[in-house]
Amino acid sequence: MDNARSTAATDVAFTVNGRPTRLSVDSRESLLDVLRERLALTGTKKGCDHGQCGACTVHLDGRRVVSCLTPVVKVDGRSVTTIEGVGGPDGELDPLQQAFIDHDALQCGYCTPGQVMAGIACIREGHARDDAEIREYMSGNLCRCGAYGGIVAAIRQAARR
Amino acid sequence: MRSFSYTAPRTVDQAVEALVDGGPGSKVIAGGTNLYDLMKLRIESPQSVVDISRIPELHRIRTTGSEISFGAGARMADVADHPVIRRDYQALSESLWRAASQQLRNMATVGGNLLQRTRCSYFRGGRRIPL
Repeated sequence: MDNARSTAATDVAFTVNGRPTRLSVDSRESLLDVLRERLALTGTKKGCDHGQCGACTVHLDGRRVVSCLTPVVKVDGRSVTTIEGVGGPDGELDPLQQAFIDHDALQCGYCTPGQVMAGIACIREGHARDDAEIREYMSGNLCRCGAYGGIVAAIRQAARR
Repeated sequence: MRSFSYTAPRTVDQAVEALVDGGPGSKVIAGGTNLYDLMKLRIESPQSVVDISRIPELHRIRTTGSEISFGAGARMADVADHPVIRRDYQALSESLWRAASQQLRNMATVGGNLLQRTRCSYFRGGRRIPL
């Protein structure tokens, strides 16, 4: 994309879960819609589509962001990790995914991919030192089933590893 | 959302040029958390969007002696978590980490934060509500 002025249709190249991807996109498209509708990576969920619920959380160059408020044109040349990319090559779970199972940290599961992506980042940032800090730094992820107690316990467990 | 053209300049000079070229229908985008959201709601409909998030000099955070300076493009999370700011400017750090969520603070810039449009739809709605 560089310094070229682009009209509605433009090419973007970025990596998704380590895989180089090149697409022709409309500049209006969000990263979330491209992941779900174009790349069939439907683990990333659409909740509010306005950056308030965290269901669409992914990592962009290693940092957690909401993909619904990320125009896909801004991702050109960058690296995206989704929930499909956090496990091992043979389907091993990320330690936080296992901790979610251990602590029953979900009910319907719709918010869970976003919770896990936010939780992995929360631990990596060093913002999971105690329950109060976990709650503060996970405040961008809503769970309407109210599994917050289990989510905090799961992050606490994974952070100890 | 209305269609728009998108440019991602690498220098301030290129950005200014792109804004002049785009005329009054052009808008600056950095984190995108405010403008892109308002574009989805059709409150903002720029014809041209100039992305200043790829201009390195706007992101810089400098702390020297008793002075601190950071670019308008510094992200809220980076300013809040900067070790010197955390230690010596606690009110500034706290005012940032208590706002929004970490996902949004990783995207939003301190300059964009000051330039936000009022979020309340009653205040910003141009149309009169029929009574």
